[in-house]
Amino acid sequence: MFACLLLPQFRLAAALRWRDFTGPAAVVDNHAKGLILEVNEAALAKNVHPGFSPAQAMARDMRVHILTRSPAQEDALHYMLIDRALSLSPDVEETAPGMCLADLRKRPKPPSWHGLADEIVARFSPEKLRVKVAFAPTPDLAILAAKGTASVAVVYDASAFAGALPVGALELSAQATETLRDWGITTVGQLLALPRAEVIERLGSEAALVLQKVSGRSKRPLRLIRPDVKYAEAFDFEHEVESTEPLLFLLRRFLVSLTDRLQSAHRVARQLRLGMPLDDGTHYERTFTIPAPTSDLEVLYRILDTHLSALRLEQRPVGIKLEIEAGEQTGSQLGLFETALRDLNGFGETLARLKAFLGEDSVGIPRKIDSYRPDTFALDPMFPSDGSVIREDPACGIPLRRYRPAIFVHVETKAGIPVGVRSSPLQGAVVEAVGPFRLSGDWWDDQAWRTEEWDVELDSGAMLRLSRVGVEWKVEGTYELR
Amino acid sequence: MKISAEKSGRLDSLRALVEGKFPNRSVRPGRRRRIGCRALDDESGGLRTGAVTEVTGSSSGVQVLLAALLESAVREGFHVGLVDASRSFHPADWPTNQLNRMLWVMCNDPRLAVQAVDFLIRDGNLPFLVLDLQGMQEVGKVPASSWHRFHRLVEQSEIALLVLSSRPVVEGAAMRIVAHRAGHLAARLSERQKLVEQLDLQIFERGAVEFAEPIRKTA
Repeated sequence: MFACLLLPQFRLAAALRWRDFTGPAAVVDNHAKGLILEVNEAALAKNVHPGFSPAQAMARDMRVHILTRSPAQEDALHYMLIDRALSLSPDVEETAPGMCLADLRKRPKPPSWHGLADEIVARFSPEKLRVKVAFAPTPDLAILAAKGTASVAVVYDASAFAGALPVGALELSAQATETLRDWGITTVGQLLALPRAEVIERLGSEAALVLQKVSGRSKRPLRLIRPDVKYAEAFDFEHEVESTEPLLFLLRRFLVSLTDRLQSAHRVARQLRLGMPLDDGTHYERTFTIPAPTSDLEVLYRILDTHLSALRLEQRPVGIKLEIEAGEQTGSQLGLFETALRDLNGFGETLARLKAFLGEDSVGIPRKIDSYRPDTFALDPMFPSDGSVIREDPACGIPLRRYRPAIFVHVETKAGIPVGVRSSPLQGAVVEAVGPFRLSGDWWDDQAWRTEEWDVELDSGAMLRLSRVGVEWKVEGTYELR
Repeated sequence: MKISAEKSGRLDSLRALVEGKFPNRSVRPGRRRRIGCRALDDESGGLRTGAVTEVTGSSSGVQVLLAALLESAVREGFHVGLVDASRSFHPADWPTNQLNRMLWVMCNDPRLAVQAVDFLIRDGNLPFLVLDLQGMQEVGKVPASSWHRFHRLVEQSEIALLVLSSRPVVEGAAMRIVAHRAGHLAARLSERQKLVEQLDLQIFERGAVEFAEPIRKTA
C-alpha cells in the first residue's frame, strides 16, 4: 500500500496557521498581480473564487480576510507534513507542496487501514489543520483517492475504485475533456473499457499517461527524499509587534508542535535558532545551545522566555521564526569522582538570567588567551565537558587583584626605578621593587602596544603592580592592600 | 550575653513547634567540607556547608584561601561560582584547571552582586559560592535583610556561601575567618600550594545554640 497525505488549500492553510480565524479568508500572491490563489469554504459561500482580485473579493463581502502568502510558513508546514509522513515510513516522496507519498509496503500491515488514517488525522487536529489521508495499491491511485475524499479513503480494489472515478478527476487538458464528453464518456471505467491503442491515437500521449495511472498495474518508483527533516516554524505578522507577549505566545505554540514532533521521532533539541525580521529590513538572529539536549517543552520555552524578557530592540519585529537543530538522545557517563551539575538546563537558564541582568560579557567560565598583552582573557559559555586535568606548571605567588580600569598615579623614580607612589589613596615610599618587565606586542599592525611593569611593596605594607607607558604610571592591581 | 534557662526552654519549644509545622524546612546540622587548607581544616574541620562564612583580613591571605578552595574544586571535581563585585579577578594568575572549575560573574555594584548570588543560590547547582566584596566602598549599601535572606536560603541547601570583604559586613555569619598576610614581595616566586600551607587564619564560629558567642577581634 501507498499512503498519500494531502493538506488541501495548502497555501491558505499555511497563511492561516497560528491565527485563530474561522471566517471567510483568501490568500493572495504578491508576485502574481496580487490575485487570489486559494479561498476557504466560507469565502466560497460568499461567491469569492480563486483568480479574483482582492478588491473584487471585498466587493462580494467586506468580511473576507485577505492574507498574503507566506513562504516561511509554507516551508514550516511542509516540513511538518514530511515529518508526519516519515513517521509512517522511511520511504517518502515530496510530491507537491502540501502533498506527500509514503511507501508502506515494508511496514507490517496495520489492523485497520481506516484506524491508521484516523490516527494520522487526529495528529493534525490539535493544530486545527485539515488533512486528507488515502491508502491505495499504487502511488497515483493514492493521490487520486486523497484528492477525491473529504477526509479518509482506503482503496482495496484498484479497478473498482478507478472505474467509479469521474473523468474530471484525471485533470486532463480542456480539449481532451471536451472530446471525452462528446463521446459520452463520464467515468474512468467507461474510458478504460475503450480500446487502449485507439484512445491514445485520438487523445495523444497525455491519455497514455493517464491510462497507465488509473490502470492500477503500474507502480512508479517514488522520488525518495533524505529523511533530514527540518524542525522549524515561522509566522509573519500583519503589523509590527510592539511587545514580547505575542512573540512568547507564538513561540510557545511553535514549541508545542515542534516538541511533539521531536518526541515522536525520539529526538532532542540541541540548539534553538530564533530569527526575527525587523521593520527596517534587518534581521535579528540568536542561537541558543541547550546544555543538556532535551525535548521538554517547558525547558525550551524558559530559555526563549528569559532571553526575550530582557531583549531590547531599536526596531520592531515583523515576523518570527524558530528552528530547532535536532539530535539523537544520548546518555553521558559521569566520572567516578566528578560532581556534575545537578540540573544542567536549569543552570543554563540561570546563566541566561544572569547575562540578561548583568550583560552578555559579564558571565562565563574564564579562559586564558595565548597573549602577552596584560588583562586579556575570554569567557566561555559553559564549563568544559571534558573534566580531565590539564598538566601545567604549578601556580606561583599571590594572585593579583586587578583594577579595571587601572588607576593613574604619580610615581617618583630614581634611575628609572620607582621609589615612591604619591597619589591618594595609594601612596608611600617603595621599600622593594621588582622589575622592569617589558612587554610589547602587535607591533606589526596599528594595534601595537608596549608597556613596562613593576611589582612594588610600599612602606605601608601594600603590594602593587605598577605599569608605565611613556611617562604615565598606573596601578594595575594589588597583591596586598593596606 | 547569656540566655537564661527559662528563655532557652521557650526557644526550644518554639523551635520544636516550627519544625513540627514545617518539617521540610527544618535546619539540618551544618556539614563541614575540607578544602586542603591546614589552618582551616585542622581548626574547624573545613568550611561549613549550608551556612554563610565571612572572610575578612589581609587581601593576600583571602586570595590564597580562594586558591585553596579552587584547588580543592579541581581535586574533588566540583564547581565554584565567584561573584566579583569589583571585577578584580585576574584569570592570568590562575591555573587553567582551576579556571575550568569556576563560574565568574562580574558586577560593578555590590547590590547587583547580591542579586546575582541570590540567582545562584536558588539555582542550587554550585556547591560553593564566593561573593567578593573586597575593596568596595559601597558595601554598606547592601541591606542587612539580604544577609538574613541568604542565611535562610543556604541553610536549606548544601551550599557554602563565602563572603570576602575588607571589613565585617555580614550579619549573623555562621563562621568568620580572618586571614593574615600571605607574604611579602618575595612570595611571588613561592609555589602557591606552599602559601596555602603557611596561611595563618583566625576562625570564629557561631554555634548552633550559642547565638550570643562573642566574636574575638583580630590580633
